[in-house]
Amino acid sequence: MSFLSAGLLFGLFLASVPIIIHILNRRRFQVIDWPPMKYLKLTLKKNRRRIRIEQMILLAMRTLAVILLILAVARPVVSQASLSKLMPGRARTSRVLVIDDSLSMGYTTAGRTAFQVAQNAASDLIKAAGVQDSVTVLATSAPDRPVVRDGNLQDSAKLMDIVATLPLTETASNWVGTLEGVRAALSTASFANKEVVLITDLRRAGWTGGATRVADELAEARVPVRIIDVGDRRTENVSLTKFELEETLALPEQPIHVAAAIRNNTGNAIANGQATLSVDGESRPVLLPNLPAGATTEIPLTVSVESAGTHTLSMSLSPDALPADNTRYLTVNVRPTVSVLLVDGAPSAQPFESETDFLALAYSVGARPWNVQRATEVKRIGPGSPDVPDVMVLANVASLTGEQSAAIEKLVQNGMGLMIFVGDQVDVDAYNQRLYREGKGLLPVKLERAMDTPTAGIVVEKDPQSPLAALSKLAPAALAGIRTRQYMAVQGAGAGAALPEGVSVLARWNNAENPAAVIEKSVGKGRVLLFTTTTGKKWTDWPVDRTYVLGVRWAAMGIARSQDLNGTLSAGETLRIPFEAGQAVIDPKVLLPNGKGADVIDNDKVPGGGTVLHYARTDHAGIYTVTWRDEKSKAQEARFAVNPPLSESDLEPIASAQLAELLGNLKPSIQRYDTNGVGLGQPPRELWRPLATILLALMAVETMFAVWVGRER
Amino acid sequence: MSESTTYLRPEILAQIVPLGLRAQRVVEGTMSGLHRSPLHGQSVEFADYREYAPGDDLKRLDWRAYARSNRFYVKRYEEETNFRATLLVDASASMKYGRAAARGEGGFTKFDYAATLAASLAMLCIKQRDAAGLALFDAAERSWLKPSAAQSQLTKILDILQNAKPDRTTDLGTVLNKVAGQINNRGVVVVISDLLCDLDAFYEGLGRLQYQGHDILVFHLLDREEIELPFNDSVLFKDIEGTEALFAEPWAFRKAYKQAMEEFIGEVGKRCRTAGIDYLLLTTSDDLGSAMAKFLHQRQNLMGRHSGKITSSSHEHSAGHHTEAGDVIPPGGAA
Repeated sequence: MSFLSAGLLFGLFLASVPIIIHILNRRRFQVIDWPPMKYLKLTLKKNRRRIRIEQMILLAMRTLAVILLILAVARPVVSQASLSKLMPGRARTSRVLVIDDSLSMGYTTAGRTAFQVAQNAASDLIKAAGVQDSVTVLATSAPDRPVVRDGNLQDSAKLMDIVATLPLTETASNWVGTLEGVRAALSTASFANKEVVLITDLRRAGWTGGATRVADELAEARVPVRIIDVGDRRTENVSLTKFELEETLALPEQPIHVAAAIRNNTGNAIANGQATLSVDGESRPVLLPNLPAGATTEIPLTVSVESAGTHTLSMSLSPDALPADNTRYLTVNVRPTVSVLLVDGAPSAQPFESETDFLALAYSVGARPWNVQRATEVKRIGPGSPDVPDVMVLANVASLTGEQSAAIEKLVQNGMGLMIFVGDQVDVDAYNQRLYREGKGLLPVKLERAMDTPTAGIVVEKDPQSPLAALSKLAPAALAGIRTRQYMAVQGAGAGAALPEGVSVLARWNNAENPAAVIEKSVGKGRVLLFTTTTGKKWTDWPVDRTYVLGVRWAAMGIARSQDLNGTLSAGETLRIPFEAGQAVIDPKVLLPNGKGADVIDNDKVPGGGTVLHYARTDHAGIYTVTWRDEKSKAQEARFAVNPPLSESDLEPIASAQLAELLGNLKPSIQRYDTNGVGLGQPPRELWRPLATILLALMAVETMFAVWVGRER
Repeated sequence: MSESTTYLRPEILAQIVPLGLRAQRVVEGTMSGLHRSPLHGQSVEFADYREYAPGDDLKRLDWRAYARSNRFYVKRYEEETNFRATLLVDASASMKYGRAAARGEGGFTKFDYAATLAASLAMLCIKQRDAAGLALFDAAERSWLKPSAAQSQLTKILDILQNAKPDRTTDLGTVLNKVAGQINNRGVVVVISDLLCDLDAFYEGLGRLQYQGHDILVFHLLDREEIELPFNDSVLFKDIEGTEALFAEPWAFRKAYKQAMEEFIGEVGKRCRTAGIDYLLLTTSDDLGSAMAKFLHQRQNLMGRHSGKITSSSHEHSAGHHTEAGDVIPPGGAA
């Protein structure tokens, strides 16, 4: 029991007032010299015990009345569980205790995280619950895997130990999934009486519209639900909201551009801040620009690595109240080189007369030249073949057979980049028939005809995701010198035209009509770039322009096939590695981040004959490394960067009205947990009303008893 | 209400001093209430004649008068003292109880009331030429006056009563035994006391007196407060005749106390009446005259059952019958 106005308890000394009055009254009397003393003594002797008992009862009632009055005004609160302990005959209850262990629960206030407060609250709940009840403990990070299922409260110490050692995760809260987990736990509960208690910080993140359906089902089952709010009302937080590669391809000793973003969700700007950038564990400081209050600031970063292979990057901000969202991770698959297959539709023995001479030169320059293969026709290459290039270039290829088209399309679907340059050799109809296929093929748009309209310059669309984004950073004058004599008119890509999904115009020729110069289409995991001019000098002077090398290299790198085994996930998401039928996966395991050891990773068959390695317990951010051996016992590994979910960085509490709307017909009682020892077995109950009722009844009884005692006897 | 009746009210009488005058008022009131007439009885001093009536003692016929007038007359004589009344008045400390009197609000203390009653009875006796004596007692006999019919006896009685200071314990039984030894001739013994004493000893003393042939009257005198315990505040009751003290809240046991007192009074009355002793309960707020008249009336009714009992005309009971007022009706005069 505790008191809302505990200071008033000092008034309990007033309970002595009736005793003092009684004593004073005994000192106020008249003295009478009495003759029939014998009869007085006789009467008193017979009645003394009764009189004394009556006086004691009266005195006790008056003292109790004062005590009740003081207690009532001190507003005592007591958990109903404590009350129910006085009534042991009540029904047994199955309780489902949900502890929010999402990232935002790591918000620290006065040296304690909300999660630690939640653990305290859970312990209080377990302590307060009746020994005849059972408790199922769920964590929001894994609502389908109860931490404790139907735990016996007779061993409450063990339960409390389990709760106390429950780790805080860096996952996102998902209240739809959590409520479904609650519903499943209730369906297997032991007792007919059920109760659900959610201990959470009540942040807005994680509450989505799907919760209404599950909440309505709980309401229909008439299961009482309580929400114990352990969250801080403050929302100040600095978080790293982006840490991504700007390109899909990284090469050794080449600049790797990484885009970072920091959101300063505090009331003050942060100047002279510093972050830590780590590459393969080697850290270096990064001076941050001024971070305005309430804004997100982009931080461009450039790193380089010396060797090919998978490299890990991370960036950390200085710790704040919620440190878990201050660090993000990235795995970078640095390819030893880029393999390019140039299919030349108009080969020539003369230097720079061949269609792909300039391209081959552009891809061969530099300290680490690309692996450039040249061919005059498309050869058959299987999808799993090591001969599959990262980028295939069709340069003025007259036409493709249906088989060739299908093979290329499959390669693109699996991630290969495809660049198509047109020219005088191109059979427009064949292209449209086999490669466009009314929008279903590789061509982004339908070809029309070659146009003899000169253009002066090229205008690159400003799209950071564009493979030509590097060109857009050049001065417009640099691109204005690109002269084109002819170009291929295409259908439906004019300025302002609505393009199909996945198709975008990256650059336009600079003339009155602004026809499309470069058009992109995403096909499966790959991308296709259609250049509406030649890659040689037949239709354009671009190959001899200084922007050519930059343009075609960035274009190739932008669409080059990337290592798809590695990836980036949010904490809590399931890590998956698919394998085709026949691929052996021996002794797979996952190495957890931060040296926390290894864990078993599941390997399940999938429909169609393949298998998939999957691991769902990605509760913490960091680099997860999956290792296995293939059919040749060769060690293989894949790294995954698991990052804190961005949604958890939004610390805005959910509004009561919004929560009520989301919970539909479910009307939970919401209670603040203030760690001052208020019992949580059931909602604490103020006792002043029953005390006042008892007081009134006592006063009535006292009055009647006093009248009864005071009557002549 | 006549003046004399008014004077019989204790609160009025209490304002009239001295005691002699107070007793005179009582006696006058009593006589007035009884329609006083000369009382006649057997005596040596002739008074007059009256015609014979059947039932008259033939010894009282005046044969000489018959010879002169040829009619039957009986002689009537002046009544003379023919009984001795001894008044035993309790002067113990308990008799000084009377809170209203102590506060000067009028009324009697029990002793005042007893003294007034005793003086009135003495005056009544002496006026009728009976002898009256007085014994004032507490734990022992403090004053003793042998019964005498002399007028000076009244003065002595009044003097003793006025000078008495009730401040000691009571031992009525011892006193009764002593008095029994002091009274040689049969007479009337009047006990005026609150009887807050050893009742067994008291009954024993009464028995001895009765054995000696005395007629006994017990005036049981109490204050109304002693019976009803009417106090509404907490009270420290101090024993008026001792040192004991008791703190009590009277309302908590008032009924029980009243019941105990009623049992006490009832028991005394019953024992007295069983023994043929006249008993009358008086409180200090009772009308003295009414109490005396009631007593005398009760005495008169008893005359038919007892001989030699105290009455103002005790020797005539065999010669005629009395009206309620005590008048003697001559033979045939009633017709």
